[in-house]
Amino acid sequence: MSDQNLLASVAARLFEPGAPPLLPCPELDKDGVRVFVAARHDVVSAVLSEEDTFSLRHYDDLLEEVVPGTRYLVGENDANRQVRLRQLHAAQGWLNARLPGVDPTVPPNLDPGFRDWIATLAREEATHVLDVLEHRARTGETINFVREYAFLLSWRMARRVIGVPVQGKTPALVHLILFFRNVFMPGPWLRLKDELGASLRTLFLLQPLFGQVFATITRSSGATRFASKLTATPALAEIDAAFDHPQSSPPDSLLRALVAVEPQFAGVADYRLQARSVLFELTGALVLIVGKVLSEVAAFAASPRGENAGIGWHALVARLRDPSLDRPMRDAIIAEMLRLTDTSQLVRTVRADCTWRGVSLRAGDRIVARVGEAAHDPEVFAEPHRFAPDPARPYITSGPLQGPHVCYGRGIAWTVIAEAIAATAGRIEPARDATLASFLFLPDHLPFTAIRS
Amino acid sequence: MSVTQDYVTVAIPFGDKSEWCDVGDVERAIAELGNPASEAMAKALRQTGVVHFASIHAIPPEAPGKPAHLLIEATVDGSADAALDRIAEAIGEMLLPVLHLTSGIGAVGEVLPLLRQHARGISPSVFRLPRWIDRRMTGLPFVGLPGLGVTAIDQNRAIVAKARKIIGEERARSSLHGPQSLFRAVATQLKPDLEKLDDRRPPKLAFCERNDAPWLDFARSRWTLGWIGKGLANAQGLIWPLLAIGYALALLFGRAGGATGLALLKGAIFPAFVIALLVVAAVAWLLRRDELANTPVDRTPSAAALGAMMANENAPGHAHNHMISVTTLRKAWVRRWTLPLAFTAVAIMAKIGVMRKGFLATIGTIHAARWVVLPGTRQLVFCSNYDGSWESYLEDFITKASEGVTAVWSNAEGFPATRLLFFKGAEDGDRMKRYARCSMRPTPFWFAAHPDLSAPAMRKHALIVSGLLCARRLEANPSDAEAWLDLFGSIPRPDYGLQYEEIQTLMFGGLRRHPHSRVVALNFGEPRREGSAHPYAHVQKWLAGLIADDIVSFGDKPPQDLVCNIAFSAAGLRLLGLDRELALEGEGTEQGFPPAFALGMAHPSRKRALGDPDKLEWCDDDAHVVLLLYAKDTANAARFNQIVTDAAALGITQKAAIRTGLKTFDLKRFELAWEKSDDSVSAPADAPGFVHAKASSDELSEEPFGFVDGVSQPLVRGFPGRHGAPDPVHGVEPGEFILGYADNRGYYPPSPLVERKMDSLGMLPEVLLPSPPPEQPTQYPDFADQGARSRDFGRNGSYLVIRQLAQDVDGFRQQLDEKAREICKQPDVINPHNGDIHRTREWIAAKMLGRWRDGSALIDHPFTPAMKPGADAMRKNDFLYKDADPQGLRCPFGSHVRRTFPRDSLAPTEPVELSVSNRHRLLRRGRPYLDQDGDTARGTLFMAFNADLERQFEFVQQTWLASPTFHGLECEPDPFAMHKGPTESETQRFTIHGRNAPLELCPVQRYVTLKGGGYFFLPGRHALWFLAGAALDTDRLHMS
Repeated sequence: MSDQNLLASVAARLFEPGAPPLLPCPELDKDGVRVFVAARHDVVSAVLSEEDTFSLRHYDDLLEEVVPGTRYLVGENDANRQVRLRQLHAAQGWLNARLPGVDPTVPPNLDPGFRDWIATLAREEATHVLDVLEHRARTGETINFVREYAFLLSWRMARRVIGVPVQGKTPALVHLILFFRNVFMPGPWLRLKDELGASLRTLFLLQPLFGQVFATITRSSGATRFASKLTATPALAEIDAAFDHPQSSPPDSLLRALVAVEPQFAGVADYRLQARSVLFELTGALVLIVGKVLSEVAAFAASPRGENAGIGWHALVARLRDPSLDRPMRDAIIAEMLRLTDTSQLVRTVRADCTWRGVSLRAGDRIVARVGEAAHDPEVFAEPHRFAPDPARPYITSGPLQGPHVCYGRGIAWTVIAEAIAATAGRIEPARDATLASFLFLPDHLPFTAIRS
Repeated sequence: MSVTQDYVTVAIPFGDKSEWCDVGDVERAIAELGNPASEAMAKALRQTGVVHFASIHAIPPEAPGKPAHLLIEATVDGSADAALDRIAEAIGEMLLPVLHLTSGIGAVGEVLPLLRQHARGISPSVFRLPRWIDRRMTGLPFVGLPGLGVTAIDQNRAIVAKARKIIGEERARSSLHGPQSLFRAVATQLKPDLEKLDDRRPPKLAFCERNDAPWLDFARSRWTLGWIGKGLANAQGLIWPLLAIGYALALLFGRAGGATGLALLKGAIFPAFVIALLVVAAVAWLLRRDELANTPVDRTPSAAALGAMMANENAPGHAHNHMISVTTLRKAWVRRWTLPLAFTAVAIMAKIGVMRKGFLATIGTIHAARWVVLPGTRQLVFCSNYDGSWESYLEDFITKASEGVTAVWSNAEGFPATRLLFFKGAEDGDRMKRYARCSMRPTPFWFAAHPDLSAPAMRKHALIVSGLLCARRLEANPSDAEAWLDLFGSIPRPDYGLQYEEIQTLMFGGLRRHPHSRVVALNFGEPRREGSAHPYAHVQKWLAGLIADDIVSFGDKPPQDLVCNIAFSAAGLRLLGLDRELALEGEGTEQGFPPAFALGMAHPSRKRALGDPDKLEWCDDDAHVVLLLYAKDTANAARFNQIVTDAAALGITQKAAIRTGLKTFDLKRFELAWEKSDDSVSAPADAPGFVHAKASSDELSEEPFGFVDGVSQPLVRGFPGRHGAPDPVHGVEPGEFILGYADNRGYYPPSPLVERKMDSLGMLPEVLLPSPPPEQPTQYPDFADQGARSRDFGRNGSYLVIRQLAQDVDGFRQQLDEKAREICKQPDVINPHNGDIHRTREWIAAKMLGRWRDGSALIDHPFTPAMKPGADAMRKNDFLYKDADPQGLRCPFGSHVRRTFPRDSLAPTEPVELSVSNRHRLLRRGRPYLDQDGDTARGTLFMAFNADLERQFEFVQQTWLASPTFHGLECEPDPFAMHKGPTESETQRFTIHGRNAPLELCPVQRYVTLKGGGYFFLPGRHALWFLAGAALDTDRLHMS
């Protein structure tokens, strides 16, 4: 049984009547580190929120193994993280000041003016990609929604919003990954050319490290660490180079904003290092996570599961194009789709020996918070496999929506996903019996077809 | 000051040639440089001192497998290579982010080598060397301001700004400035600025008018055989290779046929021509075939794209815009020939001069443009920097240069349907604009060195500075000085534009607001040197006084109270010094006054021609000058005497004083009489005494026989308001009446010149304006051309005919009565009012004149008058006889109006007959003249202006009015206006044409008597100054 299946079976037991909040998973224990599983909505939310008991040090440690000094916001809320947050807020303020419709009462990353701007960019980019794909209606070639739309669009948005250009040589490992992908996956070969090539390159540079950080529960393998190091290092070097030539980035990009606000951080000696971490993490989140989620949402809606849930692809597109939708409802639709497709998990580390909700825990124990299962908790979500968007629903979606580790880019992600789906109306649609194929734990192929106008 | 311009064109390929090549990032990076250019970019490019315009574009690949291009284009002074170095040095660092994206370079030092590597020239040639030798792009550049460098434009602007300020200050300082004095003031104050110029030689501005300007000739003749031949002679780069191909093929065929040696070489010559022609025919056939295969793309441009483009257009403070269009050339092989062929054709047209330098066809609003085909692609790029809006620019293309645009753009996919490369296509304006917009991309970066200056403004500035550098010429020439001043806020007067302030006021209108008037004929008396070299110094003194006191009125705006105009007879001008120009002996003059004027109206030869009586009460022999005096009321009319008294005080005596005036036609009274058939009411002789019209009256005046006068007058192009309104019937050119302007046939009427020194008389011919031909200032005067011109005494003057015609009103009425009674006795006549004596009389009178008393034309109102004001008749004065009344059934052939202006009546089958008639128009300014008490009109003081006495006044009088055989009639001179004289016959008759038979009135008596008159010359302002000679204080008048 694979680790995931093992964890899933433990999670299933947690929903049985009288089950404790946490159950151990001794098969995954390693080097004296015990592994517990949380799956019920209330428990997962508590684990992710109670940072005094459950730390995010695990992520810092995994990063330190590969790229010393580099941190994610998904990590301990230490002084450096505070600096990175301040950088983000300052940069966001600088950006928002250049945009119309700023609302000072909401967090800058959720500002309506900012989100409108993101939506405009997303529509523009989606239209551009769809324009290129238009001729497939004549040739009859299928479209790989994952590579040629979802990840490509996410990458293009990252280029516009984060602003790190592609430069330098492509590491051999990327070529190797692509080669294996082309050999083992169906469909036309992908090539490292132009925009599509740049998106693949960026993805393959980030993917190993994300695996290292987010797929590791106790300790990663040496191969993972090696691959991560080989790919993450040049990716970070590109950010350093971008800082040296900020004019090569779009004027409203985060990179330009961080350069612009640098004078405000005169006391921060390692400003560039911290800013690099911010850019690195957000680029990864936007390119990898948004692309992945968009692919999974599309695959779900295009599949019988979507129809069964009451939200097939065309219905989803139509809902998102409804001009009468207000923003909370529109966000709720995306959050609901994320909930329906969610299979994610997060890991926390117990800070000190303690008894939590009757479960005795030792310092260093890992808690695997099964967000996917929590998102289908029937106690919280009636008919958990039916599409029923509601802004009042307690969506977890990659972390709690409150507290210090609330997802910073959720507004961007929801907007991009919504616009990307809405833009396909009348232009592309799922191929018959479209099913999602994966490569290296990420979506790789979902056949779509261009609609003849 | 004059520099050559060149074109920097750098096309850097980038991308991996896949379908996913996107230029968005590069375009955004370029956009950061600004459109309009950011402050830093603009400053840096300005500092190069050579860049007029620059733009940068990211051009997407035409198809997968082709590269995208970064296009950097600039129009520069000097060589493109040198300019590229300066550009790289100035903006290399700012270009680096863009080049970093496209080419991966990371250091400023790599910029210039990269730009040099991809910089290319432009060639329009059809036949080219292989690309690895000739790296130039196929294309065609164009510059709108050849020779004007960036620095020169800056300097010109600064000098013009100063000149403008000085003019304002000088105008505020003195109201007496003339063009020359004003120019001199500016030139003097700007001397230090002009001395700072690198090159103080007057520049040869390419766009200036010249006599031999081929584009003017072409505008008149269009494509004649001569022009086509000239074009072919300049197409050697096209013809010789074509012949070479033909010759090579002929040699091959000959060789295959067994010919060898010299016989082969000789024998192939003729076939070479045939083969070349066949090649041309084949190209034409292939072209036509491809044209028919083209499917025009008629798409509505994307609103988003249009919005993005227009967001960059019409930037505040910018007088011009930039556009870029990217189209894809058609695949057909023949297009490889036809595109450069189109470029070559346009280049040849520019070379042989069918287009003014710096103009594309007649479009003068393009600063710089270029067509280029990106290397290794079929992408045709058009970049242009133009004045005004895109809409106006494209409209110019569509309406003025559609053939050229079609020839080039039709080689691209989807262009509107064309025929043989040059025709149709862009003529379809709306589709052309849609096509253009669809092919355009937003311009992400654009720099203009002088964004607020339009091309015409730059040309004007250059002309202004050119004028200052030619100060000596302009100071000596009021016309040039005036043309120079016109450049500030206007354009130099066109050849038909009148120099209002030079022309006496009476020319422009009948002075209806000045109903009280008098014509005074004066004699210079005996010669009185009075300390001067001139024998008639007292006359000059008098003239100088009139000038200095501003008594004589010029221009179209008459003084409110009193108008005085002055005209000289030949005798008077002789006494004032123009004896050689008016010589009655010898072999004639170089170009003096016409003999008819020199001889005078009283000469037997003229009397014979005019049918004038032997004796006149006064004539131009002893009337040396006439004063034409007009006042708005009696109080101001009293000033007439003072003017005459002042003259008398200097020994200038009065020979005749004729009181004239205006009387308003009483329409109500006429209508009442008509309705009541009461002849006692309408008879003019029984009407109350002469009542001067009010100065505020807009009604036409009445002549003594009781008819509205002045209905039909020529409308002179260039005259103000209604008097100059375009009119197909009455519109005439100013040269028909005023010397110094083109006449109806496009030529200047002969004008008396003064081509000698007159120092002995203290007179300066330099005071006179120069002859208009060939140096009439034009829109682009060439101040640098220093050709000598004759001094034109006649310029802005006119010949004035004055004839005092007494009218026997009672006799005329009595004749009408008799004829009316006669006719009414006849039972079957064409009279529509048979039995009504009053109306019959009015009907006969109307037939004699050709109009009813109220001015309504018989053409429109054959039976009853319109009973409307004279203004209504003027509005309905555009009839032609050929269609409306070919047989004279309404307006008899012999009637006065049909004689004096037959329109198209005399030769109905001749299409140009109207223009023939218009060669004989008169500009009439006559008025009724009164008895000494001013109570009764005694006749008409006929006055008329013309440029040629013989062709106009004498022709009309002799050939039309007095001729008893006019229009095929017999014994029928004018029944209304012909005066008594030696030609009078007792069998004179008047025929009223009818359906069955004409009604002949016989005998018809004449009731007009010529009392006196003469030929006079109404001089222009400078001619009057010249006549005043040394007596005139020229410094005070700022006139030289």
